[in-house]
Amino acid sequence: MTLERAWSYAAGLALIGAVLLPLTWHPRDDSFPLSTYAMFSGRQSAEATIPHAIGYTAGGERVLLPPEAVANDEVVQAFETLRQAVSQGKESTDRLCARAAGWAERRDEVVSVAIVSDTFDAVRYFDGDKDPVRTVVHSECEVAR
Amino acid sequence: MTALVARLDGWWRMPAPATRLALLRVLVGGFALAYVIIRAPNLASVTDFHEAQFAPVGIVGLLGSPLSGDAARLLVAATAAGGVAFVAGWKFRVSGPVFALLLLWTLTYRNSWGQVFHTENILVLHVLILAMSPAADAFSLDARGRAAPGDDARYGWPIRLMCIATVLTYFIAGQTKMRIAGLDWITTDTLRNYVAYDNVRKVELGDIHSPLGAELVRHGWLFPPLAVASLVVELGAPLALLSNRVARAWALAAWVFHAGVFAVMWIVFPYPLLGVAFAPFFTVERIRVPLPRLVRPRLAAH
Repeated sequence: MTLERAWSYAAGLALIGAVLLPLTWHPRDDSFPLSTYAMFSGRQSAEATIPHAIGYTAGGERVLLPPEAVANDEVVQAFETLRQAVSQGKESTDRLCARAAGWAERRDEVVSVAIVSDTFDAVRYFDGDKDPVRTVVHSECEVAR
Repeated sequence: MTALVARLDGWWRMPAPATRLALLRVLVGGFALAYVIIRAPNLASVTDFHEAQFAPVGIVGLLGSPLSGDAARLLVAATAAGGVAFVAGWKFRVSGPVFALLLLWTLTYRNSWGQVFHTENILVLHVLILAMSPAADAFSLDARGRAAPGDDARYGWPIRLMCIATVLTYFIAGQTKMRIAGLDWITTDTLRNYVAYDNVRKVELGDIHSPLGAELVRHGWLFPPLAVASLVVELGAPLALLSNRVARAWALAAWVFHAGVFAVMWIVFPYPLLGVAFAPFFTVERIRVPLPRLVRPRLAAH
């Protein structure tokens, strides 16, 4: 067997073995670039709890803040950042609230910010029923002017 | 037994032209380079995240704490520079592995802040495979002035390995659905709920959502057939290794799958959607593209 042939088998088997390794993990365990690709893989009910940063105007109107207010331009990164903060507790949500309030300084109409978890019926949401069935406020903070 | 081993060996080490592997280097490397440059602000944005968010995965698990902002930004810039050398095929024996490791590091680092993205896995695997192969024996600065070598097994097996890595990732995605939800993933409202959930999430986090997905969730009967089709593409992926014809049919089906995900969930998988992820299944050297004279190969007489 030539060295080149041996290399082709060694490299090939090593990479195939590595890619298949996640089959031996718990399916919820994820990594990179080896992965179980568990996103959207479980059983999902219509109920959706969405942690998000909400801005409020002086008149009390709600203003949705974009993902950049708490993380970056990736909506799932913002979602995970919020979810992680909520699970870590008030110190983390306060910190994220302060960050969102800092971002909101560029929006003149926003006077305060809150980190809130709203639970919706996701299917009925697109039938027009956009009111949350449950709301939990984690942190509130003022926007410095 | 010997005949079977010989057949497997012939399949694994299928002769291919150096130009095919080299073009895959240019295509895949070019995509990776453009991706790193275009997404550089996003890749560097994690430097603004709080340390409490740091959740290292993969090789970033070697770190006990996050890198300094300057070090992280420098590594993104170094990855882009490495990408230029990779695409140009300049000192590829060194620049290939260096770029592959930098890309692995940079994208893993971005995935180490609570959210593991699934859009870049195949890209990294393909770059790693190309980096350990003679992918700069044509269409490269290393090979300028030399005739492109003809068909050889050393150019074939890396392409075969890229195809295997691609189909296995889809297979694992399908397998995970079966391991977690089983047939409930098809027979219940799971897919419909996911589409609704993901679009609500986008709306409520101030992002763009899919109007088509929002409309379709009102018609629940549509989703079980879509769930079956998704699982057929994922679990049936290894069949693409049986023949070129099946491979191309599967690549088309997988592309349609990603186009569908984009249409109903507004999730972009740029690597497969632009077709680059499926390029190893095709005779890419037959595609005519204008190349700078510097890297244009002289065709071998064979």
